[in-house]
Amino acid sequence: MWIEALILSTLVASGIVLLAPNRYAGKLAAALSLAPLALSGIMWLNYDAAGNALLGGDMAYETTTRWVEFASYGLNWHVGVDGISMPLIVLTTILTTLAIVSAWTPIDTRQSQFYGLVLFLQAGLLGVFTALDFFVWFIFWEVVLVPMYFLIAIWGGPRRKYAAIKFFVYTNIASLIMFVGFLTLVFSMGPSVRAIDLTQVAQLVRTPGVVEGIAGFSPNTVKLFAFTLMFLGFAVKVPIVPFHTWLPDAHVEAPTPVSVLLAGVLLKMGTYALLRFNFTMLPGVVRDYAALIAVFAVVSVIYGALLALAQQDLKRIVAYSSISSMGYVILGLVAYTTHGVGGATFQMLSHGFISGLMFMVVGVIYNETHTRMVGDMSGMADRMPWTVGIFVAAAFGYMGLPLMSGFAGEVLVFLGSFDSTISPLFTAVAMFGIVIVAGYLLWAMQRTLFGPFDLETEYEIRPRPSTTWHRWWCCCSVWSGWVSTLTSSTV
Amino acid sequence: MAGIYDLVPAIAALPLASFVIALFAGKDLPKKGALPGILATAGSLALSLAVAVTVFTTGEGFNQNLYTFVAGQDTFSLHLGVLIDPLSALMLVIVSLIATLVHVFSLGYMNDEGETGLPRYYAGLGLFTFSMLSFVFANNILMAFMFFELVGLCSYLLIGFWFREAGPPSAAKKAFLVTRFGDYFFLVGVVAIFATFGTGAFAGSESFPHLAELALEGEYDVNTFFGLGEQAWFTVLGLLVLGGVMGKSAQFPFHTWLPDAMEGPTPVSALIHAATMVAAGVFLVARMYGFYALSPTALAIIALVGGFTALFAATMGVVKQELKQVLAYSTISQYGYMMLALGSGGYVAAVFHLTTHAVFKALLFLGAGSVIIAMHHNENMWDMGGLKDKMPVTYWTFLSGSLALAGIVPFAGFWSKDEVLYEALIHGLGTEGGLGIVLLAAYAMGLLAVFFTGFYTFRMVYLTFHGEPRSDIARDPEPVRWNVKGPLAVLGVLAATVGFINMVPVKKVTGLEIDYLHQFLDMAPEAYLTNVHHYTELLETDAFAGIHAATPLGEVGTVAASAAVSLGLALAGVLAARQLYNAPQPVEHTDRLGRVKTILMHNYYQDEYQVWLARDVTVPFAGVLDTFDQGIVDGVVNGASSVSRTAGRQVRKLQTGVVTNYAALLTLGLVLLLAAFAVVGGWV
Amino acid sequence: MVLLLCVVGLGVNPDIFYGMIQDAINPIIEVQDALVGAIGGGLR
Repeated sequence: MWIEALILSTLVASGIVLLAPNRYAGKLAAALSLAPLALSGIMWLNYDAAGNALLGGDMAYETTTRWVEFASYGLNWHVGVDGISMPLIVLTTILTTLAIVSAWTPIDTRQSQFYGLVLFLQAGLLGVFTALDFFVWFIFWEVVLVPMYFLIAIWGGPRRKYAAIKFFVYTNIASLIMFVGFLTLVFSMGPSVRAIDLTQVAQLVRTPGVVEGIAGFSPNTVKLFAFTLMFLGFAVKVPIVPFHTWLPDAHVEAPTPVSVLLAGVLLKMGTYALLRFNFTMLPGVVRDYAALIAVFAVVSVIYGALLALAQQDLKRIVAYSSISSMGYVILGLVAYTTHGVGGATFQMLSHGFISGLMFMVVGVIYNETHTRMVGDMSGMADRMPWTVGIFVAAAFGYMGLPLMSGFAGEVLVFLGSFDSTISPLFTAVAMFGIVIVAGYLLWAMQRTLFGPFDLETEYEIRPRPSTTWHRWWCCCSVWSGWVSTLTSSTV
Repeated sequence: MAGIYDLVPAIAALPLASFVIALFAGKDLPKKGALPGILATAGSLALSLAVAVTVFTTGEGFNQNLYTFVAGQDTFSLHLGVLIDPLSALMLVIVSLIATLVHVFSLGYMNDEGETGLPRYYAGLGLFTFSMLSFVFANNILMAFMFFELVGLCSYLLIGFWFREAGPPSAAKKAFLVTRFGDYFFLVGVVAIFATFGTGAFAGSESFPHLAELALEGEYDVNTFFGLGEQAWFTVLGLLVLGGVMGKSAQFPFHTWLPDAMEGPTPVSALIHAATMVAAGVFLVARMYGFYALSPTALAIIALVGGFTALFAATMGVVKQELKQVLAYSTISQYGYMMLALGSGGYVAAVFHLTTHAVFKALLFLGAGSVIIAMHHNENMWDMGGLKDKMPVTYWTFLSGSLALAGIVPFAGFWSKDEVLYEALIHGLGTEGGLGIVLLAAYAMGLLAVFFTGFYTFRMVYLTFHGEPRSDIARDPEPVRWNVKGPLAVLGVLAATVGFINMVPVKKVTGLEIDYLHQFLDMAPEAYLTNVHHYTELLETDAFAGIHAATPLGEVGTVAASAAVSLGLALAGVLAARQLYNAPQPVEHTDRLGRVKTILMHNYYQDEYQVWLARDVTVPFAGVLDTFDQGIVDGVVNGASSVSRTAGRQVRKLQTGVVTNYAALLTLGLVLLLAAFAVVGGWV
Repeated sequence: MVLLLCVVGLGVNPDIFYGMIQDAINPIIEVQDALVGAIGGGLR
């Protein structure tokens, strides 16, 4: 019942906030979002499960109810959590609360609708990460698109309509393609499948001989067909080059809190689904086409990073570098080793936090200066030292600096993929991304944060010295975090 | 005696604590965070000394995983741990000593000069010291990499300390980028080492150098990649890690960041050059020397790079106008000597030179800092002159450091540089084949560099301190206080005396067992396989490096001849500088070099081509890709969406914001789903 | 600041989540190992 409570609490919160007056909507939404945050925290602390959800592992908080009998098929309400989804749920609840708080300043119209949609979005995201029946999962998957569309289209930048429609149409078409792919797989198994429950499908499809040929095509061809369609569908969401072009537009136009959720959680839907569907259900196809998928991964890493090098807009830089980071995830997945797939999952989490942080800092700078262009400002460190300090920390996190999560994710992916069935050359080439990422982030930081202070826009920034209290608060929070993480590991 | 070893993590934790205190509370503290820094590093120094003494008296070490970074299930785990053997104990002492003195000196250089942003400065120093100390006692290569990178971060923060000017942020970016480029190879090497051996441990029978040794003897199976044989693959691994070493230790062609890094505050330069960042590279090679000793090719490349860099950097030092620039090139050159020693089998010589260099280079930088305070931050040597009588403490200590750098007996640099060259010579003569020739070539370059070193060092001394003052500031320099003179005095005495810990020529001639450093390094516990006689064994095995020594003039004769030649060249350099520059009003004699001087002033155009690569090749290429992405990749997407006008109109209708439209599009998918099941389910 | 805390906390102690992640993905790997076993896999 925990998962139902989690999703319901966000839905209820969303409803309440939609009806609340604009003045209080932000504070109210933040307060209400603490409920799912607390629930997910309790779920995490009491987490007691083993194995993979789709492959017969013990799940936490699992519920199954026959929902609808439909022809000879049954639709189940089936939700559950395993080690892959639990971290992503925690990521979602943390990021949503923080995104709501970070929206207090920049969002100044139709607040109640804004926060209501954000909470509705959260419900969809949590559903995607917990649903184990395809029908339920697909509803949540599609539900996510709606609030996202409005959030970009209503509160976005000058080209918000274009970006929102591009996002919606592109990802929706991708969903349909994926959908056809999955159905092909289900139908190819003939009468042995009586429900589109993901656990049943996953276990059956891996049993040799269950998948039958359709219309004269051999079972392997059918599997390849299904794999390709699903891969294409999810590749748009991740996004993998060359299906990435909606992302920079959406990021640039979206308001900062929405960017945080877009980069932090929405992109993970793609890799999560890839892991759950393609890589869990059809390992044979992955084995046969590992090198090709690895090429996609490496191209995403290097091409995305090089594109980031050519950008002037801070948000665009982060957007392209997200493409690059998600390339590492694909590389780790295709490696099919413990550290490869595990590192990839960890990298999803880590990138969620780091990109969220990065977008928030860019947002703070934008709130103050009303520009995000590298050439428009310099020497920001002079006026906003603490923001810049966090910017520098986030940037180094992005570069994979040790003792920050980016390093753990990347190095695990590299360790896992170097010694795997794909050639180590892929890993070695993809690793060059760590040099390029340092190149563009350091360049952007040098231009915007350092040097003599100068600002092209009309806005006046007062130097705001931080208070002693502020500094002590930072100190205590970091320190307690470190101590608790260190002690929790020794227990 | 396990008691003291349990405190080893505290050696690093103390500066970390000072980092946190300085960062968050520095503003409210007297001296803006300097005091916690001084206390912490002094505490680290005391603990390091206690550890070193324990290692020396008991001959026991400490090698333990303390923290599991990543616990692998059905696969290898990643740990953080401590390895204490003579090498790391010695380096801990060096690092914490220099860090303490730099902190004290900073009181004079930063606080007394009224700099702002001091909490940030002292936080940076604390984090820097923490990272380096953790790097030094790392017991596996992944942990070493992690702190190696953190050292890079700290150098970025400190080189760019004066962020309001244009120069320092640019220099900081360059330092981080160039070393990151090297670290890329290092990380590939780390990952490949884990893939090959399943472990990254430095010491013990389960360590990767030992497993590699066993693999070459055919007693252990490892994975190799790309169809390479074991020896060839280990060479590749060694060279990959060497990429990181060359980046951090500023070896050709990755040396370009180091002279730019002079934009940082001078005490930071002292820390970077003497004990932390630049030293980290060479230390890493020494740390995993058991691995390099297996590969003659890797050794040859190390020696060649080292010898070449030593000469190459020394020639550039000859024409520089600014005090710190001369010192920067001398640092590159001196680390070249250490690489030369490591490449030619002189492990002890390299560690010895690392030790003496740490002392005298810190001294020279702090001395330069003192001069810079006096000169109101004018660093041009042509504006100085005659400072000898105005600042005697600085002069005499600086002279001590300069004599050590030039390699004049009996100052520290003489003993260590002489040993480096001696090792290169005898191993070059004794080794068969290509490796021997390479070692001799590297030796020749290193020997030639001795002359240039003597020359540029004393050109610097004469221009700065001798002759007549050449500017108003030099006539009336600002006085410096105890916090500047104190560290200088300590280092000045050390620079004169620290060479006595390993007087190999005296030992060879008299037969006295006074090569204490050699004995100390040889005391590493047998089980660690990091002691000198194990390395010597590996080096002399023909299946591994196959390096042998030959002394054509007998041991005593060869050592005497080698010492005489290098001392003679050094003296020649000093005398040449005296001849040319010890005048009341010296003139720039290097002008006579003509075009050569132009090339030298432009550092052989090394910076130009690297900047060209970054700015005129990579960035425009990225721009082309961006155009491609916007035009072609995105163009296809947009084109596809507007293939049909009708579809376009439909899309435009969507923009009207009619909620039902979105709902319709969305439910379309679900309806399709249900329809599909109705059809299939009905038929089945 | 809270996010920075998360980033640093995860960086210092990835095992907070990495343990359960590995637990969940290892069943996937095992089957793949069995598949790959026929053509020979490397050291895991």
